Amino acid sequence: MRRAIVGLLTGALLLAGIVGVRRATPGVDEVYAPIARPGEVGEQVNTTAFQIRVDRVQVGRTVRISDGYGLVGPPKTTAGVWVVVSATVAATTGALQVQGARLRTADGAEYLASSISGTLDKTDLQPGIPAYGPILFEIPPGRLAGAVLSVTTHAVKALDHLGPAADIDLGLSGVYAKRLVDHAPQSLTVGKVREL
Amino acid sequence: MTTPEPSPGRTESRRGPLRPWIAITAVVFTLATVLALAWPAGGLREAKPDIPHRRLGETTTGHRFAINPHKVSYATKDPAPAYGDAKDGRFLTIEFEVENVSDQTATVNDLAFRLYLAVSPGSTVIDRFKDKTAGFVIRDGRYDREQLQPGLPERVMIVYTVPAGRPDPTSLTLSFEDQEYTSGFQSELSEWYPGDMLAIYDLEVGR
Repeated sequence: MRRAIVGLLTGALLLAGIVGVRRATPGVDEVYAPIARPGEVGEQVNTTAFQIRVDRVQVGRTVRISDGYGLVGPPKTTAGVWVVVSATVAATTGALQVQGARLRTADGAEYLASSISGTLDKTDLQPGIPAYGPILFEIPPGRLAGAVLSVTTHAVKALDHLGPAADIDLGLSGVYAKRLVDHAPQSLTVGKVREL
Repeated sequence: MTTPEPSPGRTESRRGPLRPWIAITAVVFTLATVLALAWPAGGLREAKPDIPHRRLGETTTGHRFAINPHKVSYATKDPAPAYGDAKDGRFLTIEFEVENVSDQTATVNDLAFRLYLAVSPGSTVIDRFKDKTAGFVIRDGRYDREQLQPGLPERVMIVYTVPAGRPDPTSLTLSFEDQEYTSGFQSELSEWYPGDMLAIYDLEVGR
């Protein structure tokens, strides 16, 4: 009887162990995810392919793109709010673009940077020549709190497996995010990308 | 020399009621056979319900998009000329309210790939790849955006050419297929794969 109880307990423990290991094992998507270096606003983040520093985060109801000669384009509206991340990026070893710029919100949604042309994520970056400019995002205002900037080199996720990435905490606490949204200007003018 | 007679007890046990293990094996075998035959026919899952038919202004929600077609029109002039160059031909335009209900950015093209069209009279199939001439978000009076961001509803227009030699369309049957973000046959990595057919819209084509 005692042997049977010991046997049953051992079996149950082994089964629990198998279930635990199975649950703790990362899924294929996690295993092949880009290798991200963490950072925060104002801090330079170095990946194997590029360096990035987020300098400023702004929120606006509409955006207008300035062409650098003082001419400002028409306002571009959104169903949510515009989040303008101003950053400095430099390629380290080879020419590239940081097309995979995403805002990852606290609920796990990912917002790829707007397709509007002339922004930093669509700029050719040459090694050692930093460029400064805006990256534009459209998101629902209620999802701004806790958003993190995730930057990779491709807009198509399948091309970024195990690739270089930077995950930058934008410091958007609930209170700060609400203040940014509540005081968002009706129109935000952003400049073109410039090499430094 | 005489052959020993079988004992009365052994004869009784052989011809008596079935032993329990035989009964259990028979039940298990029967169940396994039923399952093996039922599985290729769709398993024991509940049969899929019929695809609902919907009308203009009704919303259908899938795993990636929620769509609500609100205008279908036919024109002989290109309603969305690319870079100012109008194409020749006859055009079918569908306007939708669309919301990306997934957690990833999508495009109008992603939606257009999951729409199947047939126009009447003549039951002509409109090729969703070859016959599509434009697809975009209508915003600020311009046609230069096509992203659909999660949780941000947009007005979307998709334009198709009507194949030559076919009568002018008066009605459109629009089938909307779901997409699911899951691992598939080609790769264990998650991608968007076609899902079930969610709805069939029976729509009048306006002029």
